[in-house]
Amino acid sequence: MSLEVKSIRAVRRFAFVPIALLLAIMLSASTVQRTTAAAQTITAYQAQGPVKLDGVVEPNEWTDAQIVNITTSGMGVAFKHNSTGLFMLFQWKQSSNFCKDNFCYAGMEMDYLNNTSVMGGFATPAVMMLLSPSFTGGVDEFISKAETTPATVESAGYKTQSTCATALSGTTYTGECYRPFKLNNASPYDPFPTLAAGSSIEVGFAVGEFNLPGLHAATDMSSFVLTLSSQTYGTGPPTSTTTTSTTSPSSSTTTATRSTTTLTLPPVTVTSTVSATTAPPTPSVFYYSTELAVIVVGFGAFCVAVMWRYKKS
Amino acid sequence: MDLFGVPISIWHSLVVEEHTGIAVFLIISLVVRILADLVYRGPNQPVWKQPLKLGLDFIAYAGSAAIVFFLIISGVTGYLIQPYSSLIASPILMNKSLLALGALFFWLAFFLVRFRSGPGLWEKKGLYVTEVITALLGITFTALTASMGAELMVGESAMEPVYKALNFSWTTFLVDPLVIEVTVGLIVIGLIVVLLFPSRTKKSA
Repeated sequence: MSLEVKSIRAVRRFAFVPIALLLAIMLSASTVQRTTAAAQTITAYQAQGPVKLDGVVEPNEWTDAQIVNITTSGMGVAFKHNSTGLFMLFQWKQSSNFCKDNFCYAGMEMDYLNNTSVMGGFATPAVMMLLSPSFTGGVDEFISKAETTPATVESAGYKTQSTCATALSGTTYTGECYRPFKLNNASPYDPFPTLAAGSSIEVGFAVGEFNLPGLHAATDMSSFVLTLSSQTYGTGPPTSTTTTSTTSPSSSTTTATRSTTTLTLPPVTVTSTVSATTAPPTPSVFYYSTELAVIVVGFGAFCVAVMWRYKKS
Repeated sequence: MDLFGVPISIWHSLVVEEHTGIAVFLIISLVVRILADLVYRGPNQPVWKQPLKLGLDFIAYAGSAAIVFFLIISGVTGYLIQPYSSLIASPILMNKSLLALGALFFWLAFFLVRFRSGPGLWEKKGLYVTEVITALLGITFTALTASMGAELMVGESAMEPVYKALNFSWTTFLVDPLVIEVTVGLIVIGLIVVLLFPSRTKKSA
């Protein structure tokens, strides 16, 4: 019996193998999940005082919030909430790497728990909220799918949900934002609808420069978790406040009459990583095409040479 | 972009699972063949070895065809996820494209060598070694491509400890003239070895 005939018989005999293989692969297809066990929790406590969205930290305005220093991004951040939404404070400094001009940006990316992809994933995009003096209104929101250029929510037909005010004082930027829990035409990837007292979302922080794409210092999505608490922070501010927190941030100009010491954010240390401070060079299509051509032609010739030798012999 | 109501990225993940799984199975079949050939040499062969070899040949032949098919589909779905403009601007996406096309080439070469040489190729040492080298290059390129896909999709990959140990990142690695020169050098060495290696059949004739 010839080898060819034996081979054909073997093909028939083992025909079930690829089918079984395909079924096994499809059944075993699973998604990779990471835990956020090592993540640091940032708590957004119940606000006891109002916030005036003006990019200026007023005395006592943020004493009812936990101030967290994000050294990777060189930012100071604070969160607190009322019944209608989340107030956010971002403070960062100009540096020789970032934020030398109006194209400076800083902000936060948000995603559901356990998504943990840096800048979101293709299947689980993250929502970014970026503050920049170059934006109309000082803020814009983006849908981020992994390490590709994020697209504005507007380009996908949705609306930016945050309202912010950013101001530069000396070399320090201060951004104050409000984001309602009840969203209006928000991206479907937005994790905010899941936020309630006791619940958490993943957050990451970044500072960068639009003029130098790819140049930024950012935390990954497994480092921080934002949790909403129904409690108040620490001992709380004085009781003599006239709190009228508003649901519309654009009109949140309520002033407090508290009289405590001036809030001082911890110093922001810019400790950008090396990879974040050097803009990655652009790949050369010519070199990549040449490399592929060399592999195909070269290895093809190698295979042909081997077959040719056997044919010759 | 959606296809039958499912995002194209999910389709991409599915077809990548297919060719990666089949490639692993094919490599296992090659390892079994090599072990069988090493352990049972000489004139006294066990009766089960011939059907085993025929089955393993089928796995190699059909498996490589399936890998080529699924690699082409994953290339198309991958291209639909990332437009050309963003692909050429990102080192990791360019590296992923290069390695995916390299993997496609190696598995296609594996299939074509088997197609041209028939089931008897495993009896010819030179072709046998060529097929094993081609498969190893194919699985290496496939694994590296998949690791970049995992980095993009879930932010990490199983290869991360290796990359960290080597202080290597696909987001900063770029193909430059030196890489091309090294590749040319390796291929020239391979060709010299093939052309200078004495042919056993010729000598014995």
